[in-house]
Amino acid sequence: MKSLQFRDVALASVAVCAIGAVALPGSATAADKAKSKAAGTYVTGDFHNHSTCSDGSLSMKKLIDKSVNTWGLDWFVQADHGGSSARNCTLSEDPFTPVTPALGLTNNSTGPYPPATYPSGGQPASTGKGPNQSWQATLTNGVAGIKGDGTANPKAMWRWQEIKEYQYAITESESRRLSKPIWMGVEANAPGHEHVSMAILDGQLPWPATGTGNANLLAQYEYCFDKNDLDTSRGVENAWDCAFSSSPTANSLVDPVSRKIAKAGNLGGNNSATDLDLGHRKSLESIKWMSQFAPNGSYYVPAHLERAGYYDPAAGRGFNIEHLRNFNNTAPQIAFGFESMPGHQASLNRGEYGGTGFNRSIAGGTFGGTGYYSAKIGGVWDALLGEGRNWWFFASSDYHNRGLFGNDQLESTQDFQPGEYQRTHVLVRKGTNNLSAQGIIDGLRSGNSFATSGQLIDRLAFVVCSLNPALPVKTSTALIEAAVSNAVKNNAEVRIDGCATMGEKLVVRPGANLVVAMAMRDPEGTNFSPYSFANPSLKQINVTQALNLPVLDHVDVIGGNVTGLVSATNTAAYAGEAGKILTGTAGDPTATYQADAPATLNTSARKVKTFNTTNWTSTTGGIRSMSYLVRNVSATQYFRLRGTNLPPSTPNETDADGNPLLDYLVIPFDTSKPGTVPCNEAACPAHLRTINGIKYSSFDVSAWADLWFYSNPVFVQVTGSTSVASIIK
Amino acid sequence: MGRPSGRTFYFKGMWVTKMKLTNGIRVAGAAVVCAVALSACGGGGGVSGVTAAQKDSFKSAYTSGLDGTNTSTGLNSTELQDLFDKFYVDSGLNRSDVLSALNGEASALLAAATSAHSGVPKVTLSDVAVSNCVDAGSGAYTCSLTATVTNTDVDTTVTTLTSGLRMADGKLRLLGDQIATLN
Repeated sequence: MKSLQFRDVALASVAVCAIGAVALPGSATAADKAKSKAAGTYVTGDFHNHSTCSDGSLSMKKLIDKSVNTWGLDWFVQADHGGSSARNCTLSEDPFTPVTPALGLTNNSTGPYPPATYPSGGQPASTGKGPNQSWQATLTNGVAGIKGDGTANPKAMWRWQEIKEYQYAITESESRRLSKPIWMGVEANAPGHEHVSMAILDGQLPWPATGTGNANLLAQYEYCFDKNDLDTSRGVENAWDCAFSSSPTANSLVDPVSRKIAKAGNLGGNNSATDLDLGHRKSLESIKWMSQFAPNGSYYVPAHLERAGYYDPAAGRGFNIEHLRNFNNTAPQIAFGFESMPGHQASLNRGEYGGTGFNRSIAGGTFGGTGYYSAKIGGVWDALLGEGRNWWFFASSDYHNRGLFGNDQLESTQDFQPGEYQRTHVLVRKGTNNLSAQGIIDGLRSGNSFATSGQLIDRLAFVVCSLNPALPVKTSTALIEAAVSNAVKNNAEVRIDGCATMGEKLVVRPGANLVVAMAMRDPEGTNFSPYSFANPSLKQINVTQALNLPVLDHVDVIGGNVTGLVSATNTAAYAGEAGKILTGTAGDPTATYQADAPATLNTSARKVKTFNTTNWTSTTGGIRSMSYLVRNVSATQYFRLRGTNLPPSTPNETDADGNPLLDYLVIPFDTSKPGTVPCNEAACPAHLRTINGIKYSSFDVSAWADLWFYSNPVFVQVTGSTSVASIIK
Repeated sequence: MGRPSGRTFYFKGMWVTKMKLTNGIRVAGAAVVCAVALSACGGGGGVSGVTAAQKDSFKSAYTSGLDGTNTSTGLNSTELQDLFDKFYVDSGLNRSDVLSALNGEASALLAAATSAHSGVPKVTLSDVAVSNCVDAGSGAYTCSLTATVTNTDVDTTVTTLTSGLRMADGKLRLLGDQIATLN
């Protein structure tokens, strides 16, 4: 697969593309781009989740099995935390095969666990058994088989060794057994910040590849750049040297013993009191490293990036917009987006944002399960898109465990499993080939993707097209609406010259007329929610809708202007904080927040159109198609979509404009306080917060009640206006 | 009924005044805007003023014209541009708007590197039918056009085209839907 071309790394100011004022002789033909695109299909996956090799609760095999078999994902990246762990995730549970899902199975609190209905024998995954056993206890040569530094008992194995010598083999064999692309990544502890979902595919050979691959480059990256990898052994026999030819900056910082950016007393190379910026610089170097060694097979996507709050250099946590700009500037083909729809959606503090655990989270918490950077129209995401950056939105499960419930149960007070609730849908060009991991990474990089929760929609086609002046307007719009509907029926994309889809740009003349068209499928039948009682959020407004039968209520089109890349030397426009807490605890209604810095805003972004049952066309199979005209365009701009099952002005959920409200409005993090949305159906589960005999929507129920999808943008570049330099297609 | 004064023509059983349009303003006043509605038409085809040859000529010219909308030469061609009647109005766009857009697209293609201008969706015509021709007086006739439009790219999406036609000076030309509303 030919890699996409991206702009040179630069801190460019506005680039203006001018046209000649005089018509040139001769003739010119529009590029036949549609035919040059290989056929593609949208596939679902997850790239952030955990096994017992970090702080998860499942073996590698069972986690993979849950993700691609139980929940039907098409691709999967197993990505534990960097650092080290004592447990051996390559050992399987007994029973491995999930028991028939049913409500009411005993859990840790109601005992016995595992339940008596489980098959007897084997090693159930209780404490000290199955994948909870330690490397030290289960390796043939015990502690001698655990490499690198460390004196704990049991000794933890560094992630680089886990990946290189144990975990990769599992993903490769499972990938071949299940005939799905499955490979290794890491949830890296980014120096200076918090977590980043990353992977390096190079060397790995997931299905449909054959042969024996390896994850050596990924392992080396983890050793070199994870701030929690404090090993100084250089990977022992690997003798890794983290210095690399394209980075004199990093090489000057490399410690002579460990050969990575590290200092005495700061082996992770994190920010420190004496070097407040070291961590962020190390993170940038890690991106450069990937760019040198694996430019096509790598990605670097900040995870739940609002959770740890605004950037605190002394503590080495948080992400501000300038860091995202720096990442993208360093290698736009690798750092191309964020997970702003985090995992942990069934948690009391949804997304694990806010509350006493993360008391600095940006703007207090999540909004409809999405972080402030993306949930706010005109916020950080729109600011980045307003520069014309290739910066995309993703979702992930971040699965660790189900809280009070076992991994084979369906209720959850903590996380949903990969594919169960959130999905990233990405277009993969297969052409005559099968689905491939490289194709998936290319798709993620391309921006032709969308993210969903609760299977609100499962297909989407979204384009912006020029009107053919020689056709009646209604004919043009009918043609494009038919095209998006057909694309959704086929789970494919529109391939028509004169149209651009997500992650692409349409280049038009000033004064052109455009049609913005989209279709999506609101799937018929139930989603994966185990609850069939009425959605308590909708009951507030007298709408009866079963939690496992959500209905798309409306789709918003959000548009904004593109004014070009901001220079890093223009500090006021480049750097700043958004959603910064000033007083109180994040999520507490009494907390106060600083006004968002101008650098974090795109004031031109606004909701430009809303579609619902009054103005979309419904066809069989749950397909909704819609379009509208944009007349006489004059400025470069973008369009993106969001949709939900909740009407505007749903109390405690959405405002009058349909914007999601802070999720803590539904259920405060103070467990002594009641929620605001009663769950008074007989089937409301026992684990919901109950105050004075009244159950309140909380945990997984509140997540299943509040569903969203977000698309990535389509850019429109108007000749003579700002150039969308980041987007080649 | 005598012919009203001003810029009028007879279309689908009524006199229609050519509208002066400004962006965003719905046409008001005594002007009559005729939508493309076959119910107002009197009788079926077979009006002797519009010959089969004229219909075939239009079909050929429009088919050929649409086929050239991915090239600057095609967009600029007088044959294509002459297919738009002086009374053309379609979803708020008049003939001047259409010609400006065609010429603008042609200029954009010429001025930019090929890959830098996205062009417009190109289609082919088939099942072209000209019917319900009505004598509009003064030697003019109005007809209805229906056709199947197929995208020529990978998607091959199909839809239906409808438009009014007017025959004058021995040639059929497009009238559009005669709706002055800007959407």
